[in-house]
Amino acid sequence: MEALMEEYAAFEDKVKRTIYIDNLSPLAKESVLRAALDQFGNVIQVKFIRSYLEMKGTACTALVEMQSAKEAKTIISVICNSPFMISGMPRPVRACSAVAEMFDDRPRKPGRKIVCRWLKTSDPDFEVAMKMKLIIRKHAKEANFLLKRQLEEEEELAKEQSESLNAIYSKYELIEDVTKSGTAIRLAKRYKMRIADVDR
Amino acid sequence: MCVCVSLHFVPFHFSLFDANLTRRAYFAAGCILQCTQFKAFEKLTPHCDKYQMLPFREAEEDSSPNFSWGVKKGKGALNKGVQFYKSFTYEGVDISLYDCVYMCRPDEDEPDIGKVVKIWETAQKKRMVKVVWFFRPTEVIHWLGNIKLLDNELLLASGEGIGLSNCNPVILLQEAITGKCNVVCISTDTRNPQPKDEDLDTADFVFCRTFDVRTREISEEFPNSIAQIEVEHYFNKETDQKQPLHHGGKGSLEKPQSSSSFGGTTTKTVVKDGQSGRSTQLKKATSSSRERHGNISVTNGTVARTEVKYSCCISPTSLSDSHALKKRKLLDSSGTAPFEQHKVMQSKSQVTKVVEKGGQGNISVTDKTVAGTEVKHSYCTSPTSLSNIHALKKRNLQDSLGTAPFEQRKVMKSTSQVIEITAWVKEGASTWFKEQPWNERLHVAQERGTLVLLENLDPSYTSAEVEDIVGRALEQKVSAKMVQHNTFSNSLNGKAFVIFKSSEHAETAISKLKKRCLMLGDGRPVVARRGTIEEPVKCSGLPGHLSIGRIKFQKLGEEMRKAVSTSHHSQSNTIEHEMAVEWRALQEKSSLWWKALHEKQAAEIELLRGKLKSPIWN
Repeated sequence: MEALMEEYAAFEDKVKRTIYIDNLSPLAKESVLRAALDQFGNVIQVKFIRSYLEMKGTACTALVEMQSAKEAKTIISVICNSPFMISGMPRPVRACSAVAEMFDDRPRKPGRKIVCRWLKTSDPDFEVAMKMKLIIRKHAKEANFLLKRQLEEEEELAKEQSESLNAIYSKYELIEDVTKSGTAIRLAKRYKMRIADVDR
Repeated sequence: MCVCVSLHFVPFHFSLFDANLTRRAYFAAGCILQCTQFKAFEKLTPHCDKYQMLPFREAEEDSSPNFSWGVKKGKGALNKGVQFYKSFTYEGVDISLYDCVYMCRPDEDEPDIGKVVKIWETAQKKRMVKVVWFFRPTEVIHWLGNIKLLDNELLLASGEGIGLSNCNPVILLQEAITGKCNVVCISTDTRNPQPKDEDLDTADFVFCRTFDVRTREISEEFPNSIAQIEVEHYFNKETDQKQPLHHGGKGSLEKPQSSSSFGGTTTKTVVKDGQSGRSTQLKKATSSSRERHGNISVTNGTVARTEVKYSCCISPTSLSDSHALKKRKLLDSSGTAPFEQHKVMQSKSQVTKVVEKGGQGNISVTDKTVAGTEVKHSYCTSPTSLSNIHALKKRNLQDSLGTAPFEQRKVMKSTSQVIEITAWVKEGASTWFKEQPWNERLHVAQERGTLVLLENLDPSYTSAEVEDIVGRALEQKVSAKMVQHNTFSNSLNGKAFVIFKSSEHAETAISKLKKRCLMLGDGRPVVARRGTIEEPVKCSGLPGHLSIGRIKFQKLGEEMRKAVSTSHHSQSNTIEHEMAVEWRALQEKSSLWWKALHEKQAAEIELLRGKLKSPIWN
């Protein structure tokens, strides 16, 4: 019994020290993640969460175990306060502290009893239970739908940003061209305008 | 660290199975009683009905070799032909006056418990007993109000009226005594000798209240006499009575396949005895294939449920094997044999004990019966003698956890059986094989069609617990893994992927869970459907990770390239930062959406859950 409780206590401690990172790119590998977070503290373990139920296009997630709970907390607050990007910009990652349900290999909680029973069809609860089951299914579908919408929104935002980025870039290129080739200086001379000195 | 135990079997007294069979066949005959199981709230429980005087159908009594009278008590005053007795022996079980017995009805899964208050033989040579009933809490739930009863507490019937007592012939078609029961009175009434601790441990049931069958009141006061018998007889006996050991007993019902299944055996084997050597009479055989039990649970690593379990001896007599080692057959596809599992527990001192969980699989093949595939609940207790593992299993009620014995026991509820989920291992399983990594197994399982997704589990379950639940409830060995939560999983709803052994198993499990309802502890029905897993995203990058298409890669300096592939904070005066902030906003928005959705869903579930009449409390 004690061994169990110890194991469980160790697990709980681990949970406290672990960060859950979201919005990760599938390109980010463990080494990248490790390097990213090493600046903040000692990373013990990085584990990616395989998501089996979500659709393509959702971001990857990972659980990172740090050495101490304090480090974990610092990282989380840092990431929340200023955008931190891993393996690509500008979409920042999101971090929050992990909860036990995120681990799929967790030990049993000692002293827990689970009971279950088969309901007979004549049981008054049977109807209610069937309804509950239907509702659960409905909820699952709703969740799916919401996820899809979320993905759509994300892609839309990405597209917008990409467009605006390209537009800005071309503007910059234009300006750069102009200044580089001396056109701007000559034009300024022509129109007798001062041109700000640009350090080259 | 696994110890295999071979338990010995002592054949029961009755070896004449044929004779018994015919007699037992009476159960198979259509039963007269209509059970009003779930409408019991309005009426005074099924007891009422059965106590209308139904025509008794008795089997041939006189030629029964299993019945013999005990001590005589006296002749009847009115009718000289009536002879009262103090005890009798039936089927090897010695039943004396004021003993408590199990009485089983053919279509009821749960036996009734009654106290024998009169034993006599009529002038016509009919053997009769008068039994005063104990009520189970579920039978009087309507009138309980705020009273909280212990797990194995009963209520003694009192007052006058239907449901108080019955006079039955000893051998009765509809109802028969199937075994002795140990009921201890824990009332603080001065007339009641207080039970000792070990008595409490060995007790199957306790009672301290009465239920008046006429006024329907529950009280802790005991009237002076119940059913014309002084109340002292209902209390505990003064001295430490040496009750005769009786072997498991009335297994009775080995049903032939087509019969309506009778709940079956409830044989008590533990006997109260004040002396040291508590011997369990649980003698069962283990076939050699069961030897491996030891390993399984230990390798699971999480087995150590050192619950105190109290095991009822289920000893159905297997008709085929009349002698020698009675094999406990596992649930086989024909589904009638009861099954049992062995479990190895790790105790504090690291000694493994084998605890037998006498699960009685009452699997009847015919779909018509109500009992269906209910798993009988069993009481088990953990053996205390750690040293003697090879011996007969000891029923020892010493609670190794040191908690009070009462709380540990779970009583069979008579409406629907509560299955306690403990580490369950099915015979024949072996965990010696190294398993492929979970990912591959999932894919393989999906192709084969053995993958099932269970939803609406408690999110705090572990994978092992899910395996146990499926094991107990559906009697199949599976491997399961909980789906990890992420930012948008509903925190009330736990999901797990379960891989069955074959696609037929998976199919049957899904259809079973669909048609019937498996309720988990706190009012959650389990939802199952075919599992499908998504293929992992090919590494194509994430939407939102932008790159400027026109920049040729080689133009980027070395540092630039590195910067993209690792990580950095964005500085606030860059476009990047602005865009990042936009993403942030989107992330926050999405988390709000999810929160709203989950709240709404939780509210819907709560609404329904409130309508549940009897959620199980843990």
